[in-house]
Amino acid sequence: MLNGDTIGELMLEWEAARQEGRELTVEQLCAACPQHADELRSMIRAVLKMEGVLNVTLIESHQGDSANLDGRPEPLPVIPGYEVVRIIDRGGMGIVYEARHLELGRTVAIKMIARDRLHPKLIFRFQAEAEAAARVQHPNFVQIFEIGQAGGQPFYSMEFVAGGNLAELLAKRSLSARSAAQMTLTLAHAVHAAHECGIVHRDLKPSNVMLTADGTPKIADFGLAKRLDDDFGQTHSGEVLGTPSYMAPEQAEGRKSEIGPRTDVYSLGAILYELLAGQPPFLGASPLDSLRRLLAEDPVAPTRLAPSIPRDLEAICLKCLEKSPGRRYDSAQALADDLRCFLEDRPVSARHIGPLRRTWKFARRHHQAITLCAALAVLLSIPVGFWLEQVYAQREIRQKAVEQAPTVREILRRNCYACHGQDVKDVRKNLDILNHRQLLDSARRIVVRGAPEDSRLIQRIADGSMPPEEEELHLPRVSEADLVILKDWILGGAPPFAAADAAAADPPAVPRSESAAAAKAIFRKHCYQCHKFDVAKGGIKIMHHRLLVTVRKVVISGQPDDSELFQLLTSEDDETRMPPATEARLTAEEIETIRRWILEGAPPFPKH
Amino acid sequence: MIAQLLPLAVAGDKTALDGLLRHCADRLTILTRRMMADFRRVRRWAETDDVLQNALVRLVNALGSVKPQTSRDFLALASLQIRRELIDLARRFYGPEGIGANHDSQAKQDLQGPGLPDPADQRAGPPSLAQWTELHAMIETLPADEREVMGLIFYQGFTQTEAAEVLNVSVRTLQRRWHMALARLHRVWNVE
Repeated sequence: MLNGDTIGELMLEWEAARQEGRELTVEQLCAACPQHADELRSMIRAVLKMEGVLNVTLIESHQGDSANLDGRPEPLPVIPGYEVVRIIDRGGMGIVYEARHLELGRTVAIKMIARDRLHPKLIFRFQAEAEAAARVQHPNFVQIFEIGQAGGQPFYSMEFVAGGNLAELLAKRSLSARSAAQMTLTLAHAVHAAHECGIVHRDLKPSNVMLTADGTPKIADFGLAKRLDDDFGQTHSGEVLGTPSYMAPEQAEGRKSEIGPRTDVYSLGAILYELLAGQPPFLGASPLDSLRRLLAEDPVAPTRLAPSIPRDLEAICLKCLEKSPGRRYDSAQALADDLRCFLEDRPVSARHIGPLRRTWKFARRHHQAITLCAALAVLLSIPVGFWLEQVYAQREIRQKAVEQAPTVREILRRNCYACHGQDVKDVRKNLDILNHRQLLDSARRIVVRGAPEDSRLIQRIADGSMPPEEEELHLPRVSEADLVILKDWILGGAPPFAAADAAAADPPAVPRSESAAAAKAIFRKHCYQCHKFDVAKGGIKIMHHRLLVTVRKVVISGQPDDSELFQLLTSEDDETRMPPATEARLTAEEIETIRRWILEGAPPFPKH
Repeated sequence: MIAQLLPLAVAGDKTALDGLLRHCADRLTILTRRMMADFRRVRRWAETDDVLQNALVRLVNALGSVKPQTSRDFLALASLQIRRELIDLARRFYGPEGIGANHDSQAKQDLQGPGLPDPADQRAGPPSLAQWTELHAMIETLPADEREVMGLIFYQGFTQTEAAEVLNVSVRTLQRRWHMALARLHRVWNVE
């Protein structure tokens, strides 16, 4: 044990000296008590060693860390061709300036990465996402004019929208239900256009909806949404913890694989909710409280906050705010369609009318007949309600199957068509998988209407024998989600595929993708030796498309920056970057090829 | 300033409590980065920020419901939660089921024992993730007064003056406890 007080006092003396920047040797400290010199030396070594391990000292503990968290004022940048006027906004990743294009004389907004956050990875992401945002040409998006660099800092210029934003408008006045629906409809159309370009906004909220002088909404910050995998500085944690009101649960919880178009559908629903009810769906006493409520509670029905809200519009809103992405609209377009139905006073799909309500409506329309039926029902003890429920349940199942038929055809085309229809030479057992009549041939029992468990199609997929294992390098396996769709379709009577689809010429089962072919060639050249079957064992087999995209999810379709494989290729850390230093590294062009391949949805590799 | 928020939070000010939770989340972020910085395997599989998200949600959930009676109580609990999250993070990636321990895609380097710790992690210098786990666990076993100092200086990032103020002790006493705590950790560290 330490020699108590004496050593402790000597340590304090040493501590005082070092904090003043003076250097005291052990000999100096122990001049009067040399017998303690060894012990003191050990103690000082221990303290210095452990402070080094913990990377903290009594002298610097505070200043070092807080410097990471403090934002410093950024001087206005100099950008050739522009005169930067002022800072408009400061976000998690960048700063937005108002500037004037000197040649054209027009006012623009310019976004740059904050100087204190410049980082190769962030710069790469900024550029890639600016390019993506520039691809979305839609009147309800803030348009990107130019992407460039100034003084080593990437920037892009965009349309300057001077009418404030939706949050500011809401602070001043409320909108009517129809105006709210119209506004959300406009936004949903725009967001759908972006989704079709493979881009998910992930940060839709009223303050990101700019308004022109005539009130036209324009979505801003597209593609530069504050991402879950941003560097976790103050703004990021502030954002995750601070503005959860418009954020889908899967995003708040960091379930990145679930983030997709439906994440934006949630946010659109949250915006609609606020337009209707005057407050976002989860308004806690503090942002953290909001976060907890977002994850744990269902939103309060808007009509409880504003009883005049039409029920159909409320149903649309709440469908967007479902916790499970699968229960929301499957696209922003579907949301827009339902909003259109509302505006045109047609039935909306979101409003599930229960059996009792249906019966009531039916009864109101046919009250005389129903009176008689009810009397009969009472007399004969027929459970009319139950019967009606069954009928309507069957109808819903059937309706769902009809809606899913095109998707089913797409699944079959993607997963089965190569062997069962693509080429006469390859067709096995004379089965064209896209031929509805052949599928339902009673002798084959490939699809047995209403009985997925008796259908050989489902049995073969479920037991893993289809697509065949030997083809798994080339043919994607049917995912669990797709299998559910197939089962539902059969359960609903396996309705035919849409006529238009049936008539259309069938593309090859694995569409030829130039980017996939190029990516495959790069993988074969640089990665295959380390990642082939016998070497990689349980690891990543780089030529195995399904393993990359579906099983291990190291490639996330449309999202290169979120894909671990791409992160490894572009890591700034020499040790982690792949291929390893012992192998030839990928060129910038090759990395760009991989990025484009993922951005295009990581289409399957060609067979040859 | 955290020291200014503490009494407000104790008095029931929700905004102040919110500020404290943000501070804790920031500290967890900084410490996680520091811990993960030298761990090659895990970084291959998940960026620090990815693994942090759930830990942050859990941390704010755990602390958000706390009604601190005193500043000291709150900070002690916050330090404990941060420490536990850090241990969880480390174990998640380095434990027997951790992907950092079991993945096999760096075939060339892992042929000699894919599940074993990287020999490089045993060298002097920044601790490995496994050592970080040990370190956090060791801090848990320190005497209460030293653990409290460690909590404020290391986990909470307080200056010595701020920490002494919270503990209501002199700076010299605080320094003494700091030295003692580090000496104890060093002894166990060396044995390990």
